[in-house]
Amino acid sequence: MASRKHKKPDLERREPIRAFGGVFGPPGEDRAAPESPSKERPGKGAAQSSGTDPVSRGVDLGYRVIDQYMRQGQAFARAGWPLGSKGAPAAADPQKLTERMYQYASDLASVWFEYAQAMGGQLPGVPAPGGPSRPPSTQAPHVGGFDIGQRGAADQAPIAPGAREPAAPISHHAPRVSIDVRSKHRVEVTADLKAAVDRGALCVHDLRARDPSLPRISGVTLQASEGDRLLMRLQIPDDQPAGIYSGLVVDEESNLPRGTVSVRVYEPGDP
Amino acid sequence: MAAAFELTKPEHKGKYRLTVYQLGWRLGGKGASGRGPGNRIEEHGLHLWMGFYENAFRLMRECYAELARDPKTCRIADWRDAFVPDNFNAVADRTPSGAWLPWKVTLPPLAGQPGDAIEKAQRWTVADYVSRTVLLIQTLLEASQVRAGGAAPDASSSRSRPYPTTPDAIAEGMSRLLRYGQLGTFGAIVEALRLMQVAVAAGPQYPENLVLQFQESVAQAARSQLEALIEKDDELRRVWEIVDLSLAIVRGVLRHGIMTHPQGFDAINDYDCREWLVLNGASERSVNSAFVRALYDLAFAYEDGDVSRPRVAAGIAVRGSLRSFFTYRGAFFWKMQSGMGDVVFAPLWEVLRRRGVRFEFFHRLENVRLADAVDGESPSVESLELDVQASVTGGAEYQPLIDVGGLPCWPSEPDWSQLVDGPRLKQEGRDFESHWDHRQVAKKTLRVGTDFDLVILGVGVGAIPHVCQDLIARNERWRDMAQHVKSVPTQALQLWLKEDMKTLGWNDGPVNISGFVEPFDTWADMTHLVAEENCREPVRAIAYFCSVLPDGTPVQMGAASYPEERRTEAKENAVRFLNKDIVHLWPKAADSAGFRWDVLADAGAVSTPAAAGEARLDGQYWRVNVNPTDRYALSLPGTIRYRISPLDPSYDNLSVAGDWTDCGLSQGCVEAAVMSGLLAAHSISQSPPLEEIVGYDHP
Repeated sequence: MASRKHKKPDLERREPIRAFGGVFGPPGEDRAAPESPSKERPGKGAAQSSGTDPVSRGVDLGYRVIDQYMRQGQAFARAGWPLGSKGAPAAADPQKLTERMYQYASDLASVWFEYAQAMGGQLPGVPAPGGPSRPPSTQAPHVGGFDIGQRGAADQAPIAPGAREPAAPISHHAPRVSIDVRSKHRVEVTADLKAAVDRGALCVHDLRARDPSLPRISGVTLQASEGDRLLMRLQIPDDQPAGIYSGLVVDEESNLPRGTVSVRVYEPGDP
Repeated sequence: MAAAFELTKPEHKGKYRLTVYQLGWRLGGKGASGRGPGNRIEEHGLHLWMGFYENAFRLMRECYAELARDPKTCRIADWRDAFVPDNFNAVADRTPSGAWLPWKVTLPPLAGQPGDAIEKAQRWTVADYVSRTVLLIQTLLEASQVRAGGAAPDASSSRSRPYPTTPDAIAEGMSRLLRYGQLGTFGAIVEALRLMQVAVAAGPQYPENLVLQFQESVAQAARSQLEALIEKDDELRRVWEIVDLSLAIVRGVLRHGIMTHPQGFDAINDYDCREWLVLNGASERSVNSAFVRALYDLAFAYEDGDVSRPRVAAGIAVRGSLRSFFTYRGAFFWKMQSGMGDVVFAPLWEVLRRRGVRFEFFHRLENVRLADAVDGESPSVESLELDVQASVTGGAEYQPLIDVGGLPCWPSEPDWSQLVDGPRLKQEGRDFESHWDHRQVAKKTLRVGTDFDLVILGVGVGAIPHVCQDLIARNERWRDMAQHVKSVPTQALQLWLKEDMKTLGWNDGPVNISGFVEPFDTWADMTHLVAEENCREPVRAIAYFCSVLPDGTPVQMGAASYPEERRTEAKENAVRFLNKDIVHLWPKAADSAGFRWDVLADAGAVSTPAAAGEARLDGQYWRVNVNPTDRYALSLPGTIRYRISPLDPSYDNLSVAGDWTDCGLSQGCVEAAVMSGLLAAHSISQSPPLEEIVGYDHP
């Protein structure tokens, strides 16, 4: 018998991700690419953060969120496609994956908040501690989701009726979004927006469930808000069936997709 | 080499100690080249790098950066010295009357350079590809409208007009056009295509049946508008063929649900590309057009090398085409400024040597032996059995490169003076790269735990049945792979010419042309290499040709004389081709007696009297790639699923690498080879991250 000392490590995945590119884009392009070809790419060990500073943790969690998106997409796609995939592992439970995805997203928001605090307002559009205060929020019946940028301050920030939003410059970073949800149910909201979005001209298509018989969630709006922030407002009808609803964010002028919005509506009484 | 480059990067801090065991005297496999008489470059075939070879270019850019050659002393010091953009291409079009008529295209240079960091906003989605395809159709139809005598499209009333902004409005627009049969003019068709572009770009947001029905109506309308015109106008005919093929791709993507399919384009890999295009509405004329023939030619996509059996998996072909045309950077093609060995493998050898990689040349892998099965353990490689083809004098390390005017290059034959009994081995005519020459000076067995821990098997797919018998016997997936993943031999011809191309009758600039007649369907003008070489007679032009070579029977291949017989056959092919066919491209290269053999420049020594007539071909270079390691891996329909990934866990100390593996691209090309090497490195070190292998995660 051979006296082996080494063997290959177990890998997280062994196949390319070929699906769901139309919704979220392949993971490689959304991730930070090396600055230049000659710049060293970190190895596995180097890529994993120490987990001690909010920036590194944010990067790690960001990767995990995107990974989770992709895996969830694959799981859904495989579950819904009778032909299956060669050598593919059995599809994971989409509901569990969704829960984990939202957990990661919440973690990311939390860490991003820490990062913003740590940067002391150096981020464009993020007020420094002690800076101008935000308008008081209006309490919605039941609010879910999160605010990427400054948690707690703008979750339900109202928009003055008829107020004209200032034209926002094109950003090369994924925009930060405040979400205003009005719902009797518990809901969780995810917004995935591409970089370089012109925030003066976006509209959100009706959110649809996978089951075409379920009613759509319409009337979702996405408007420029303070700084380079976007404010998304959506209202969930009281009789909206539980489920996951998704819709495209499109550029009003070109109608090209700029991102997606997903809402998970829980059963009444779900914690 | 890509795997070795990755595993020895500084961030691994020397964790991996590598030894490369190499057949013969040079690196590169079928990408290897050598310097022959007059320092002429002798390639295995014609190698053009495509502008979407992101991983391959990134590898070479990193390599040249680390190499840091001095441009004062070395003419190829930077990757930009090594690769030059080449946008002028052609396909050999055949008119309805049977004449050959090159269709020449200068593809526009696109932003960036291959290997640049990928911009965050860039996405590769089926919807984007289809949207761009529809835009291409729209543009071609607008051009056709003008050519056919119609008014130029009014940009202010067309593209600048705001799009409908809601799915309902777009769906209503499509329904209205369908309902009232308003697709009777070019303008209406172009307008319809704008709606369709928006609909497909948005992904599966629209009723599939409506989009599909709409697409079919648009295709029918475009066909009726153009088909009457194309018989009289070759340019319109070509445009229509591209439009027809593009419409078929759009229709196929919609019909097969590829936009949301978990396997992306792999979902249609059981179809042949032509078959799939016809299935989705393409005409027979279009699928036999120059463009499609070129696609097959460039991929040597002929089963068993039989040109009457063109076959390539539809998903691989469509993905490759979309990536080729829509994601190239800088230029569609990039040409190497010396031999591939000199531009690619010499720098890699130098950098890897500096990093401490050991190279053991003159080692032929004979067998990969597995350990006895142990309950509860994954199978593993126990030993590697090799033939030592030659020993280096004094046990020294073999120095493989020669200096050609300051550029480190590979020679076309080994440096016999470094070998024990070198003169005798030379006199015996040892062919270290021949599968049929089994002569060796010793045998060597490498044992796990003593001589190695992990193995990356980087042989060509054709060699697998010869060196992996144990794996094939004991593992069904390996057995399936060996049975289904086929390869073909190829042939290559290089000519050095005393007259320039214009004198020979080619009036355009240096070109790459494919889709031409067999036995050499592809020609590239390589005149830029003249300065690299020192022929005895002045050279004004250099031409490389290549093509598939019909496979031999197992009995034929078993004979020791097989390679020489095929070489003779290739020479006969070359004589026939030059006498009969080249005149279609170089009308002044022939006279009433056939090819003007005196235009061939002889590279022989000054003292050698120049040959005359057809014998002058002996002073040129041609070869057949019949060695198992040199054969070209095919992407046949129904076989892609049998490829084994470098990430495959079947053996816990073995990974595979090569363009024949399941590497995400699954095409025979340098980009696939590099991607495969990166995956093999990942299988061992989990680096690079899969997300950094550009195009691995791709529909």
